[in-house]
Amino acid sequence: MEKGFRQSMRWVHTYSGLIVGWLLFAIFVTGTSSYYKKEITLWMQPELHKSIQSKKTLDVAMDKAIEFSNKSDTVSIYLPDTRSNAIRVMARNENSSSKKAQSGDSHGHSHDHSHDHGEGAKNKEKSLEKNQKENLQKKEKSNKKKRRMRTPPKYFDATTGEQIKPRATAGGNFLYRFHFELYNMPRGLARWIVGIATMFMFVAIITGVIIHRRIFKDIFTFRPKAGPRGWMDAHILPAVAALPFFIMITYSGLLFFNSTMMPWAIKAYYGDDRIAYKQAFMKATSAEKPSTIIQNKVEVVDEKAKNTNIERIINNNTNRYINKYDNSKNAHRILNSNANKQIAIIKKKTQEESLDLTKEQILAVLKKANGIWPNNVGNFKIKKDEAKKTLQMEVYPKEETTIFSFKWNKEYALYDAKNARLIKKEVPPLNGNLVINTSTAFMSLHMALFADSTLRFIFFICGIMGIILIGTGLILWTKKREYKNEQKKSIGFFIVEKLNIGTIVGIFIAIAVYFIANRLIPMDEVLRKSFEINAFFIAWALAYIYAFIRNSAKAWIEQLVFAAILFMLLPILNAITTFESFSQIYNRDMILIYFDIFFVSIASALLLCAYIANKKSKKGEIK
Amino acid sequence: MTLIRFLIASFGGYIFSALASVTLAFVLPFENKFDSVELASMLSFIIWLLFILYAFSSVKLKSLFLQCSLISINLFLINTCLMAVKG
Repeated sequence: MEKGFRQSMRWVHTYSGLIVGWLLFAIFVTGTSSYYKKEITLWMQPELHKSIQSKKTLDVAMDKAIEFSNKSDTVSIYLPDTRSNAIRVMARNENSSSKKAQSGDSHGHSHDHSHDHGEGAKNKEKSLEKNQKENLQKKEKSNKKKRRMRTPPKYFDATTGEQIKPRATAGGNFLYRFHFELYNMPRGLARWIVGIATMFMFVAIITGVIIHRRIFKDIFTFRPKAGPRGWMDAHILPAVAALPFFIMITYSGLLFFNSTMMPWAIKAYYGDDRIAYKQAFMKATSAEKPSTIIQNKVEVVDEKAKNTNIERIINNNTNRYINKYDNSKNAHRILNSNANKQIAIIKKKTQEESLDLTKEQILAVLKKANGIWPNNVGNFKIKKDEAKKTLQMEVYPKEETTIFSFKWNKEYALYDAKNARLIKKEVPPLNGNLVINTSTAFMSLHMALFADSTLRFIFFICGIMGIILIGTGLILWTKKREYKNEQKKSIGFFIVEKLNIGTIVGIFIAIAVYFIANRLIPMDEVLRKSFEINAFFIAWALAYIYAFIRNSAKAWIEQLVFAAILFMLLPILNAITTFESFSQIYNRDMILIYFDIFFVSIASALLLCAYIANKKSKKGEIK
Repeated sequence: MTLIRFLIASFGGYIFSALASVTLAFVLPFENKFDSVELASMLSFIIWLLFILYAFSSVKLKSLFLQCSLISINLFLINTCLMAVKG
């Protein structure tokens, strides 16, 4: 029985891996590169390369903040960090109608949904819920509208403050989108395809563990011999080394498709009422007690009371003095000073009511935020509400300090910009909701947005392990059947072999061509964004065609060498098209130097593969 | 034969895990119903996976088909009852 089970699992492992292996390979390559999505976009916009972070950066950013906040209600300023090097500004003007619908919440956080549920009559709660529902409906509509009319960000040089207009490119975003939505396909269908492929991967991983007997020993086993044994070791080694990563990445990948693939539990409860579901979701992710907000309100009241108190005391004092001495001179003096004090209070009030931001105010807020996240203040958002007469600043950390900081619950601190008072600080998890926090942690792990550069690099390496795992797995299938195929040619073997060449080497050629196209397509080309993407797919398609018409062993070597040449070309092409002076080779941002290093190393890795393939094919000939 | 097994594992497995996720969503004892919904759909993928493994183990095709359909019908009935009671 035991043997039978393992054997059948071996069969499942082989074919679940093979059927969607090529798609999975492409997903893994593009997905792994998405860990450096922002960096790739930066590389593909060489206009931004000149911008270098300096001591002036903050000053420039504040100038821009003030300049834009005079014109728009919501201004987000992104300071350069380890993943970018220019100042990015996103300004949005919300017209009054949508502002009402949003009730002061413009960015998807759920702080206005945290009203007290414990008390109050049921009717009241019902009407509140109804109101909320209507609000949400409006909000969804306005959000959709906003998404359509999203204003593109503006870029500024981090030292000089000049506006930079980068070239149009899909950048790393194309690779990122491709890894879960493919391209030019209905979104739902594409997600289903990727979801099913992920499920296959999940099955392949678990069956792989089941058929495997010596898991620990194999971390240290590699026998680089010709034939299936060597390929088997090359398949098992990365699989065992990064096994937790693979399980995490596939399972969390499935969780992303939760509402696409498994909406039935949601449907059973909420039917087709997406809004009710969203509302429940917001409730589940928002803070349990809105204590900070209430406290703040009390504080405000206190201050007002204090002010009136002062006035009362001053008036009382003067009256007392007048009564006591009846000295008109003295009384006048006191009255005057009293008037001065009152003027000062009124002045203070008007200053508080003005919505013009000053540099001192921003600095004060950022200084306070620096207390929360030392040397880690990333971007800030200025929110002006003319109806409510409020001027607030949201400050976000550069690198998140918690894994729970995800799309719907970002870690941030909200300040009153007028007096730099902390209104509230949200550090997720906002509540002890185990299930939501678990699934958020899974998704957060998948995207590694919380990770610093070291951890991101480890994730990247794990992703490469996955690429090797799938690639060697696909090759292993052919290697095991090579001998059999020589006896009797089969069409299945032919197709698998050709698809292997087309996918495994083809996608690297395609990515290299995508990068090259970015540098070569003229700047003023209107469709340059789609030209780049077309170049990617044409190169990939050509790789498939070439694989099918050429002898397999030769196609492997030639394509590998070709891909290596393309990657070798990239640093040179980059230097020719973007460098203005020779010193820029070492004078630029570290990210770009890493890119060159990466291109050279991937080229040498491909050359090494070509060398091994060449050696093996020669051996085969001698045989 | 393998094709039928594959079809049962994928489609039958999907229906089975979808039904199981609905049942779990109703049955799981969380205070917040959103929690049970979320956990149910999180678990449904694992249920699907286990079902696929079971389908390709040494179980006979006929009994696999019977088990799958019987459990699914039962779950469907349970779900309808639960829907009537809770939903």
